Amino acid sequence: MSIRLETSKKNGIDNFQDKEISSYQMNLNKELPSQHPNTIIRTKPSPVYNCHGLTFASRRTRIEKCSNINKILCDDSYIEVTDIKEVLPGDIVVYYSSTGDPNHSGIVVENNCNSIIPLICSKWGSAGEFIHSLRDCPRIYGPNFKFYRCRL
Amino acid sequence: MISISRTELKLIGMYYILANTPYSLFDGLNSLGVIEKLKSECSIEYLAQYYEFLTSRSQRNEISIGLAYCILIAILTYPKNDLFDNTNKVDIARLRWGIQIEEYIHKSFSSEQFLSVSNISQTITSFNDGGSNKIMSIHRGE
Repeated sequence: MSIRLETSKKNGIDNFQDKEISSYQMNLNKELPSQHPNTIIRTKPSPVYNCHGLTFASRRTRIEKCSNINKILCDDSYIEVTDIKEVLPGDIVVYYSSTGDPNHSGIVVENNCNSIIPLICSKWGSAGEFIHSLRDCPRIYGPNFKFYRCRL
Repeated sequence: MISISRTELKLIGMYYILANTPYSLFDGLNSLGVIEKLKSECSIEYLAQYYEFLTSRSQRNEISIGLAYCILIAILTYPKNDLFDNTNKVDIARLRWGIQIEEYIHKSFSSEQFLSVSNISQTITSFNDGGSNKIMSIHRGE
């Protein structure tokens, strides 16, 4: 199932809401912190939205197409923040594969003098939301990343 | 018969759950080495039969769907083989990201190198996973 979702320029964004969560997913969510001991689980797993749904659609649905992420970044006037020291809470981070696929994204929740690396809130696929440092996430995300700030 | 370890199966299920995009699922599964193992140890007909088996049954879980994606990628990246003709077909649309993964493979690799199975609707219907036709063994002693 999908919902009506548009950029600020009224371009449609393909999306998909999943319905079910399995016991396997619930168990995986409990196991993930042992692989990433410095992360904090923020929510239980949800099939409704993915990381891009969290970052760009207020947790309402899943966005899965690379072209749609690029469309949102362009239409919604996201400007890249190139200096990591200039990154502020509320900015977003998009992780890219070596071929340029935006394979993950999240919202910066902390970046101050006490934390050399920004803290991110992101959703790990169909698992839950996690608070984690920039690189402390499953290895299928990245290896590259860019920070953006919305200038609408 | 090929053997996939319990750890590998667990990782397949985990990557299926954690993937946010079709391409990240492809990259994650491709990094495991299972796909290369499938290609080196199984014929393409065998893979097509097991794909059919996994995707046609009503009871699915994250590991079986993840494994079906592995087999689909193995089929799509299998070296060109004239013996794999229209009698051995796979329905890529049975998996939600099947079409996107096929497009990604054909965009990323030389189209001459691999099979093309797009727009194929018919599938193999006869497959027996019992008795002597054992396809997969799960190696539990790690």
